Amino acid sequence: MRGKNIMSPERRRSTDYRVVVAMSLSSVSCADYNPVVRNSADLDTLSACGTMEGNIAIGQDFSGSFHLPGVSLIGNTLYGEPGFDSIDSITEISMPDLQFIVEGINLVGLSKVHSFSMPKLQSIGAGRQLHNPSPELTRITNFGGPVLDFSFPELESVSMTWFAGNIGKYAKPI
Amino acid sequence: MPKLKTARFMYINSTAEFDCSALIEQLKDVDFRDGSLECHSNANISDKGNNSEGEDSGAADDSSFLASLGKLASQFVLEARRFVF
Repeated sequence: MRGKNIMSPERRRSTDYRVVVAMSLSSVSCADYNPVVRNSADLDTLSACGTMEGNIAIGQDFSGSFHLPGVSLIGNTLYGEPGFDSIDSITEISMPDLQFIVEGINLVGLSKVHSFSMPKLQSIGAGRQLHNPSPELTRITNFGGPVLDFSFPELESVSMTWFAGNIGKYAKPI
Repeated sequence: MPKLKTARFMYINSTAEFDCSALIEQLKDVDFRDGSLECHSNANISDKGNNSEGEDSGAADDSSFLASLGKLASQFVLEARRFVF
């Protein structure tokens, strides 16, 4: 019988369980310069980091709510995974503790996002303004998506900024 | 009211009923250092700043977005030249 799969049904079920657990583990760490967030386990890992020295990329295969508390600074850029035109499975972007994005935001093709919230954000692109005469571009588009409102009640400084698509409101209503 | 004080350039192109006039009123005291605030929507078009043109028909679409992007690209070239020489 050597070489044949003689695993009992009980043993096989146990093995299957271990595979599921492995798939839900995070593949990012606080030390990554370019972490790509692909699932809620990745969000849990980054939420314990406080600050991220480099970028945060939202994986093209990420779906559902991108809720990332606990990160107050992104040292480079928040963007969609390179190589893809859109991140169309994400429904919400919420970073309740984010205060500074040193370079910019580049999120295009947010066709299902209905909520975008960064209530403590104070500055976008300050690094470029200080160190480089070529301004960084923040670009957010949601053509074809639900009407999206933006509110940055604490924002004091931004670099070059583009919002295009089904934009309902920006900042607070008068 | 928003706390926004400085911005280099802000461009909004909305296919929704975005109130550009209200936005400009909200941001009237913002220092747009190198550019302007440019707002296009299905509701209206408004510009504020030193290089806004606002010649579009009012429909927010990719062509106006790309036209403005081209204008911005020329700014980048000018800035790069200034930086190199």
